[in-house]
Amino acid sequence: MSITLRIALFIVGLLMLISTTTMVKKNEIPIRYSLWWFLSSIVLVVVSLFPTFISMITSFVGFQVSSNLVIGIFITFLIIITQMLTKVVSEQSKKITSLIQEISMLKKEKDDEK
Amino acid sequence: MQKKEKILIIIPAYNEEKSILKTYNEIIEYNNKNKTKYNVIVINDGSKDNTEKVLKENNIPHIRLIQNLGIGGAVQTGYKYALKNNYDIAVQFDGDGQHDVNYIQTIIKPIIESKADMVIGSRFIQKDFSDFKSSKMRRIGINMISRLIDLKTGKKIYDTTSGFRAINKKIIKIFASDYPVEYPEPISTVNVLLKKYTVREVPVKMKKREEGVSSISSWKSAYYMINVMLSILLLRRVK
Repeated sequence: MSITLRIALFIVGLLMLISTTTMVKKNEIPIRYSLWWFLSSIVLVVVSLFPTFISMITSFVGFQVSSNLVIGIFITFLIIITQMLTKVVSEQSKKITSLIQEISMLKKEKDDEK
Repeated sequence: MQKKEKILIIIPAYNEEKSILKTYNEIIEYNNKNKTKYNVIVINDGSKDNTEKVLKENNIPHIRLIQNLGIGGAVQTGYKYALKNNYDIAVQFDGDGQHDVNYIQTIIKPIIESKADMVIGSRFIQKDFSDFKSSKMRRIGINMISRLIDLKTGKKIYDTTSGFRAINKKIIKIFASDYPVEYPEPISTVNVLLKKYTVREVPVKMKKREEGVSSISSWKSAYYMINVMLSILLLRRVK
């Protein structure tokens, strides 16, 4: 891996780490959702700091170059995160449905009393 | 009939300003003529037309959903209402003039006689019984779903997408707490079957819809089929 790519990965990883930490600190996202973001940023930082270690894993897994391994790991993480989001959205939409139903029924009861 | 069952007719309505009053009046007329006491609740599923105005002006009992939920969420609201108000039987009935009031007694009869927990008004169970003509593709689709349900539950349901159905108190309780939001008719039927309740189909005549369009539009049917079949396959067998 070229030194420029390593620097770029390091910077991106660091920025992701900082933004995730800030979001958790500000209570904008709960800790359980931040886990995969932390992992992703740590992977980036580790890759940029220890290229020899990474190229060992690269040849072990069967990728041609280290950058492909990084991309592979990231796609996996993104799939996990998207699936988690799909689940969260579905749960929320269930809750919203039942809220709409309950509120609508309450409104009818209130109207009937008039 | 020993005791008088409390019967609720649930009419989900989305943009049905032209037909909802007629449907309601037909039920009231039927009640007067036959000394029946079918109660009606219209679920206005966030209609964008004047459905709400028509409902209010004519004093039709209704619940206005504050947001559009789709047919599943709307019908479930009816079941929740039925549960809250202690109804014995809930009938789902379309507001677009497709269903015939005279068949309500036919579909609730097996429930009153405790022969079934859920009854589906079917267009296909007797050949040539119904005037209802659906497209060939639609028939093939319904047939495929029907076979899959048979495979999964061992019970042949012919008209899997019929929205004309009646359920007893036990099923009202189940549906009030858990009702499929997507593709509610086939999925809910499979759920009931998997819970080992009795489902029966009775032949009914259906009219051509007078107003409004089917909730299953033609270009979406392939997508609909894939989704329904996948969800039936994945439904869990429960004790």
